[in-house]
Amino acid sequence: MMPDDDLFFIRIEDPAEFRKSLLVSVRDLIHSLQKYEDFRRVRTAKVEQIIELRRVTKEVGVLLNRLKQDLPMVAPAKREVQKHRSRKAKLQAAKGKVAAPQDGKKAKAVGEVKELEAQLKEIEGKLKMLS
Amino acid sequence: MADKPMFIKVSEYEDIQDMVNLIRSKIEESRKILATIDQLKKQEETEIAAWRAEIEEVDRKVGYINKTLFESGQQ
Repeated sequence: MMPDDDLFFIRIEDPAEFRKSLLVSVRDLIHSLQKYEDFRRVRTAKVEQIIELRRVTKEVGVLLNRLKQDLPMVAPAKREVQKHRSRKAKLQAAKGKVAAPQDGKKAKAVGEVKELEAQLKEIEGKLKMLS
Repeated sequence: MADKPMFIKVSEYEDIQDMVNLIRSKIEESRKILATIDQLKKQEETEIAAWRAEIEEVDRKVGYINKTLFESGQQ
């Protein structure tokens, strides 16, 4: 066993302030951990709102597709054949487009993006023909 | 072709009008959700700023502890 004579101590000038700093550090750190909970709550609420926004946006898409089908078709002469499609065929086409986002829930995100890109391409084509 | 007038049946016209109103209400809903997201984003940034300040304060205190322990030890 080491004799007491060999022990060295380091003097702390202001022990009260030292202890206070240590305690305040621990207290602040606990506050910091509590902040994590607050932050997580806000972030969860934000994610929920984003999901809700996605749902509403999809609804708008479905409604716009329905509207597109309900309005008389205005197509350039080149697309005369499309103009004479039966009402039944038009409805089936609309259903297909409307159903796509719902199927997308099961499908991977990549598939959904490709689907949207295809729809965009189709719309761009139609816009080009109209202008 | 596109310059020619377009005619819609009166019965269908009302349905279309309802649908347009529904679309506009959905867009309004989207606008409100976006405002909420924006608000939550700001709140999130405030939380992060407060968090950062707290960590800085802890660092300051630990710096003092470090200084007290090691600088007094070197004297």
